Amino acid sequence: MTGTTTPAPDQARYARLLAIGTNTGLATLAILFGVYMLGAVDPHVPHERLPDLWHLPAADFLELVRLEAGWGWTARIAHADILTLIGIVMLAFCSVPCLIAVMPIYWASGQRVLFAICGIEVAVIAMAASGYLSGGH
Amino acid sequence: MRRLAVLAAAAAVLAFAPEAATAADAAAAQAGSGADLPWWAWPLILFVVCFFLGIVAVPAGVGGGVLFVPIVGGFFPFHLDFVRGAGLLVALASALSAGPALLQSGLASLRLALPLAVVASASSILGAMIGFALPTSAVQVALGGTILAIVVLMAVAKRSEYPEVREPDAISVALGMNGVLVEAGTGRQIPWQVHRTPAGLAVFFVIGILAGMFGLGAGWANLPALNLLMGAPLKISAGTSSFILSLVDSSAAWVYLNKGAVLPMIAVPSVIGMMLGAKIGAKLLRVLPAAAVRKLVLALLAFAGLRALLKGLGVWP
Repeated sequence: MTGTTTPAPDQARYARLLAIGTNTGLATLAILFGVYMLGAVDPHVPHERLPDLWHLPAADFLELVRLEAGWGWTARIAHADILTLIGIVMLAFCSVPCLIAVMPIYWASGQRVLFAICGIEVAVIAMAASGYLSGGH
Repeated sequence: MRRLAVLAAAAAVLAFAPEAATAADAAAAQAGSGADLPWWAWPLILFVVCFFLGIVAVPAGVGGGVLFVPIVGGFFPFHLDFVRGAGLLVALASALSAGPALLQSGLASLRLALPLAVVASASSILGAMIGFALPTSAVQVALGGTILAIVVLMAVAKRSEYPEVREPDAISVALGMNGVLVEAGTGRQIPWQVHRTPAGLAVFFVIGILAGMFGLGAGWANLPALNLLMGAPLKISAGTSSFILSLVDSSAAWVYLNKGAVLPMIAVPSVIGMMLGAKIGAKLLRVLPAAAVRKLVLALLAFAGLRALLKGLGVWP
């Protein structure tokens, strides 16, 4: 193994939170997908209908299955296929708490530029998640 | 003799991937959108193909995402929007899983990664938006061209274990983009620093656009940019490259989610198959002849890139 013997406090804190977020996200994804595949909860789009739809562009797919772009899917969260998206959202979001958690370390050590960079990265991910940039809010 | 047997096993594994892809292609051609097969058949085939791609990706030193998009996009009945969305999640899940260990061991540097990741994250959103704005055929052609360029880059790019950085630039000094690498066995401590940070930021802007547009993991570009351009040691470059993907792909993934281009039936079997395969691949790392596997994977990638190019041009629909 090659590497530093003890990670810096910022790296250690980031790594600890990232491991929790990633493992939780992957476990959630696997469980919810299992529920979806087994048909334990009704999906919004029936399994049998998917082969007729997945060759279409995403915009046409949404129109045909009557789903809105952006966060519109949350209105149909009771369906198994939509519920599975929760696991994906957790993975796409799990870097944010890690970034926020290391900001106080950079502030305390006077590294204001790194503090600002973390804040900007959180803002970039939040902006992407909001859907405003991709016209899907 | 043992080496020959191992090489034969590696070739068999690799031979299966294109064969499975060709079988998928034939089935797709026969079934059109795949509607003639039961609904569960395609996710199952996808899982098996991704499992084998995951096995060969590790010894070949190629990211799963870069293999996934051209191969699945070229030989499965799914629209490229859903393939790019799934490819991005494959790359994101792999990068997130590797991240904690890389940071704890010091093989990824948070301070080196953060400034580059901010730029690439923002541009990956732009890239994803461009990808959705362009006609599918144009994205296919650009994807094919990019994959073929990646093959050339991977085949010819040199690597430097410990690049010489005589003087770090002012930005890298201000941001603390440096560290100490401890060598295994000898315990020797090797201080490292980087230079040409402005050029690195510009390159990562372009890398972010490509990652967002095609849903490719961008390790193929991150690694040479960190190692050859900025002068980070090879191991730090490899670890940090993977970690940067976890941030860049997070941003782009949201665009795909908002556009409805993440279909769980395609994305989840791909992620699980690729991650399980990568675990097996990591275990086989010591027995598989990495150089031979890499050559075979590059040949497979070139074939998939050519397929994407010809599909986009309407020559091989």
